[in-house]
Amino acid sequence: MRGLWGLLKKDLHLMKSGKFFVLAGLSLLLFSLYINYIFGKLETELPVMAVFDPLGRLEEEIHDRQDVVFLPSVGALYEIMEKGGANIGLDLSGEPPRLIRNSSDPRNNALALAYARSVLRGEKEAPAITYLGEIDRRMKKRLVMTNEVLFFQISTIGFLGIASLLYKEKSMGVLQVSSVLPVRRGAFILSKSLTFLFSDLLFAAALIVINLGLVYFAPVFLRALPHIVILSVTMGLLGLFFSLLCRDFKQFAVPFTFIVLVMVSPVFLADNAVLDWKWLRYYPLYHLFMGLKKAFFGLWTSSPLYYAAAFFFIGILVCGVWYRIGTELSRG
Amino acid sequence: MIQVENLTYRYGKGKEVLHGISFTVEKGEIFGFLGPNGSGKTTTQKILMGILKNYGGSVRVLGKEIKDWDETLYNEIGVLFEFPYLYTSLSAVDNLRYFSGFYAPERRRDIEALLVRLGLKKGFANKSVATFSKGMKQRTSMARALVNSPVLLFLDEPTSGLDPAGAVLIREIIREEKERGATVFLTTHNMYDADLLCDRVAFLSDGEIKVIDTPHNLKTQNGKKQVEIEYRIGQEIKTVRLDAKEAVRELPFPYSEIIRIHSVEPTLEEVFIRYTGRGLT
Repeated sequence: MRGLWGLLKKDLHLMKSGKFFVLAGLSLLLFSLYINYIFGKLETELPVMAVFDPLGRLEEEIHDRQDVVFLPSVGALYEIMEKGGANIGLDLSGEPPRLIRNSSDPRNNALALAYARSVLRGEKEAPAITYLGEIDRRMKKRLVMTNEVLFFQISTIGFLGIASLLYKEKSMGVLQVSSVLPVRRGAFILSKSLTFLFSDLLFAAALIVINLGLVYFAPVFLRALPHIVILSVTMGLLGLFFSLLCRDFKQFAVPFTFIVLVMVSPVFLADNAVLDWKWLRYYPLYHLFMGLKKAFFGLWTSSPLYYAAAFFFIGILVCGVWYRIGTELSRG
Repeated sequence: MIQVENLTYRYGKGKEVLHGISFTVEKGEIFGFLGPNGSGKTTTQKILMGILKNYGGSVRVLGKEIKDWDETLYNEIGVLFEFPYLYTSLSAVDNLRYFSGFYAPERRRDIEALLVRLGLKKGFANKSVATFSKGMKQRTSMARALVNSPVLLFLDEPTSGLDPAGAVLIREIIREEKERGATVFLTTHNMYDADLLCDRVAFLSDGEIKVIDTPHNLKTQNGKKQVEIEYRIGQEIKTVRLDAKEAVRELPFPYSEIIRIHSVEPTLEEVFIRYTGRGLT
């Protein structure tokens, strides 16, 4: 216990002197600015429909609808669509009417079509929208992006941070000194994992408070806690393993790129794009990502298989790191 | 304190680097382990420190087979590595506070007093180690090795990077540790240090111990028992070497004045080369 406390204090000091907390603070600031001032404001208003109707096929009353803009030419219609000034374009110069969309998402396009039909049918008012639950459209967007930022931060920055810490110790040679201290190898692993877990929990708490507000903090944080712990410990151990495996940061760039591109990207792509990647259900990080996402939307992940698999994987990583530390220390 | 019998070691499936070496180190002894690069010194030291495990033969340290020791062994030993490994972002005092924090309070030495004893320049104890010269880092590393009052000290090139005064100080401190009752396992290329400090030395070459003895015995056994005489005849100064017996009887040459007479004995390095067939570098 005496050894672990010493290691914890030292790791925290190294993180501090390595400006890790400054970097985490800066990314917290940047992500929060993005969520609050850019992403959160995108597409939160009712869709705007741009219409070119040279033959006057639509009834006069439609012209009073605030969500419909009439344009004088087909060129002007395409121009406003290309600029992103409207969500739905409707060209009524030919037969049948042509729907113009920027998105290729079939689900969104189906909704746009239904919306266009309401206009074509001559409905005089925009449909009233009732949001189920307490989460409105803007809050939903905040929840989605806060969850994604958190997942990204822990899986990549934490992974990179733990590696930079270890390389710093390697370059100073103090890892060799650790091999002759009366401290168990397990304490060394535990100290590194706990330090980064502490940092990740701090980041998660701040991110949730800043972007979702204090009201959401307790329920979201509590439900997200097991997933944050699993993700943080997993990525920390992976970072530790690869930084022990690779001699220098240059070599480490390969697993880092692999982790970012191959392991994390598909999860984000599946969540944001229209592709239906059925194989993702076999992809462990997807379940972790979805577990975290569900937690943000008020759901607990109660599957024992999920937690058993997580503990099993963490156990394997601990064994791997344990072995690599021994090799690294005897390398000298 | 250390008993090594028929020690063998190979890295992975590679060729054997230690070929059945045997030696003992007594309590309170300063034992020099000398050998050129690649001779197996570091491997042997790592085995003795319990870092390398899959060795052949028997290695007993502090009365117990090294394989059977857990991390509590490191309460008893102090290690000075070849390079001064310290946290460069911490001060000398903070480095020592951190490392001493792993030991029981009754074992810990007074950090400030230790740094003063090691001659760390005034005002530097609380400065970041990154600003230190190599010599100051070496002194701080030596303090780290001593911070737990070890009963067994492993020192690798303890005077490396030090100016002559610093080297004298470190040698004094090593002797003080011996007087305190500590056993010192000294690995070095520096034959001068080995000659001045060691009670016994072992010459290691190609994974084998070629000889173990006191520096004095090694030099006298391998000397020619000659004396060198510097003398003046008229205005001319000459030097001659004679067998000691011959010189004792009568000087067989004319001279006006004897300037110097001293015994001719080989240096430890010359003895080393004689036994191993190669130099230390």
